[in-house]
Amino acid sequence: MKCVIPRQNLKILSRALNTMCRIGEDLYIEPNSTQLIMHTTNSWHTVYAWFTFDSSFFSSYYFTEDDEQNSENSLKCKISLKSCITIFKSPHLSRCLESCHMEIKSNADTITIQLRYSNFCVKTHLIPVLEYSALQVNQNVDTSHVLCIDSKVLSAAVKHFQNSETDITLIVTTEKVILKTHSESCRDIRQMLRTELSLQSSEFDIYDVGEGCCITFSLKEIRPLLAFAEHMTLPVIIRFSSPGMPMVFGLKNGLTFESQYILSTMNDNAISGDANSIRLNINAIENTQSTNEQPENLLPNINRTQLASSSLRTPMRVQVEYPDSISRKRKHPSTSQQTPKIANSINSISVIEQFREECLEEDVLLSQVADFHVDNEPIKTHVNKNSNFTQEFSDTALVFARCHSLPIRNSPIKGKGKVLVYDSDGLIDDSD
Amino acid sequence: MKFRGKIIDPHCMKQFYSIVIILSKLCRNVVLRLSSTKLYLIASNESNSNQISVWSVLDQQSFFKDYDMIGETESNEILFSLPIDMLASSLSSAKQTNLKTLKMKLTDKLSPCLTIELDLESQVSSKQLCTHDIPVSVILPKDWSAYKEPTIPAHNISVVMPSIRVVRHIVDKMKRIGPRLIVSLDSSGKMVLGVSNLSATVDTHFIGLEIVSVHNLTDKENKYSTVVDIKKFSQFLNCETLNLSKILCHVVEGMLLHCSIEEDEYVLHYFLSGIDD
Repeated sequence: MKCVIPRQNLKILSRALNTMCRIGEDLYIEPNSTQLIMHTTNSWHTVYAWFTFDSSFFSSYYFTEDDEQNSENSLKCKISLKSCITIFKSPHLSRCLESCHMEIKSNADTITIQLRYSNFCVKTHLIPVLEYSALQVNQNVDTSHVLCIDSKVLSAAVKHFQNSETDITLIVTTEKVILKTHSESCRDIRQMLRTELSLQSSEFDIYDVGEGCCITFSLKEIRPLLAFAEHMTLPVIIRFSSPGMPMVFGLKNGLTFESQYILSTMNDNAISGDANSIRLNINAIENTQSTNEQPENLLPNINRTQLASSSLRTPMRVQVEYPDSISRKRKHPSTSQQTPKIANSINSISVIEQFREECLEEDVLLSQVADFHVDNEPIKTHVNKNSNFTQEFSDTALVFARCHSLPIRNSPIKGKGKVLVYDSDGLIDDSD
Repeated sequence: MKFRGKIIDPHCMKQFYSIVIILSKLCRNVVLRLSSTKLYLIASNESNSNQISVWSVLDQQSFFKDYDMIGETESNEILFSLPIDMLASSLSSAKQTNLKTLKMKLTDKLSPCLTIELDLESQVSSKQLCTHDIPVSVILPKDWSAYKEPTIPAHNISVVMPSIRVVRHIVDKMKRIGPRLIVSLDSSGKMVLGVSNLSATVDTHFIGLEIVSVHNLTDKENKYSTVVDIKKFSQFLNCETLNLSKILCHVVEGMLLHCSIEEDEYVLHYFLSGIDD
């Protein structure tokens, strides 16, 4: 694949890369016959940034038949985002730079980026390809509510919030939108500055919110996108459905390029500590997990534990969940790295679902780990009753949450987990 | 206990914001003392709790269009302390041109709060409303004595400071040389800022300054100096944003450097106690 980016568009590309740089470390590039897709995700998989440049964005775009055949596995590559932006950061970018040529060869070690200057100077950069793999994301996010707003208005509104503000809550009603400081984060609400901003529905170009809803998302992650949109003077389209479900920030410049940020949202109910909502969350995890069952079995090294559906309705279900989710959280980076290698066989793993799971898990964890009271009996009974169940748990799943800093033991599990360190609250070894 | 104030004049908003910004650089917490005619912003020295480091008085009538307050005691005053950086960041939108009104009021939301309400005009005719709740802690009348107007000590000498911009540039450069600044004023109208380290001593002389008062006129070669923390002094010099006509600088030999700003609408005193050699 070869393409040439004219000077004017190079600035857009450079800004887009800088925007993505604030999210993740790796850049995934996926060329296809009509467009070049660049995307990235952060290490927690809570944000996914996606930019698509149409062939009209480039002054020329070659995508040969060979490329067509290879596109599935050997053209989709992963490079380091940092090394990529240093090329475009150079101060020479403005003056005598004429065009940028980019070439991705199938299965080559590097991709070539050539900057051509008007004084016949040519600068060639070879960026090593870290991996030929693709990021699989389910972009079909359920979006029943749509808002469209001028990016200038939105970024001015967001400027009222302190720079240190990480999460904000978006409340939409039929008449207006309220943005406010997320009130239930871990910090002491009584000691911090609370900001609330209301925007009338007339500020929005599209205002389709149904009966309204209330979701919490990370403001920090969205600021770079807003800055980009403001610079390009493009309206921002916000789509979302319900708390806990992913939301989408999108912008589109005609046909030439398009961008989307998919971010996880927080489920406020979970934090409030209502037992019912926690149960519901776990059901949600359960459901998404069962769809993931197939691919997980293909990854024997990953110690990702499965949930036993039989115990779902027992009251202790919730407690067994915590260590499990902790261990999974820790292993997430490895999961994500393994996934692309078997990309063809995975249809059901979607990062989005992982986003949601993680988001839910974190909520539950944050609120519950602190006042978790240990009662080991029910776990034991599960173990005794259901031997399959025991096999399905990793070591860490049976170790109490406070021991979660222990190394994960991959030693063979003979029908039961082994506790490395006893919990100070009296968790005992489950050797029957 | 009630308080509600409204500013609508853009110039007053900017001025109020600038004062808050300067204070936010000088201290962390500020005590806001409200009386029926004046609004006081007081900061006490964090290391030496009883000593007041910043004393500023704002005339209520020249800033606020509406101003209502009911105190609980006979003196009809309210005192509360708040983190000044929160106030500064909530007022930061006062810089924008589309701010119509700025309202301040005391509210009880979860905890006592100073609520700042900003009425913004957007491009589309509709209005935006932004509210900031700053948690405050109310100071009980029995502790009020600590926030009384400080007695200004007898100065040995007072002069009008030279151009604040020039001083700030020089002090910022001097900051790299050493942590202690020697400020000395003499009766001939000379101000010397000096800083030294093991390998160098740097003095900057400003001459021909207007002398406001000298304590002892009998001795012609009177020279008074005090040693202060250069960082704290340079933070005060950020006040050039206020577009001041003049700043007075007073010295109490070896004890205190006192800078004062006296404008029609407000008064600001900054007390910088001398440090030992």
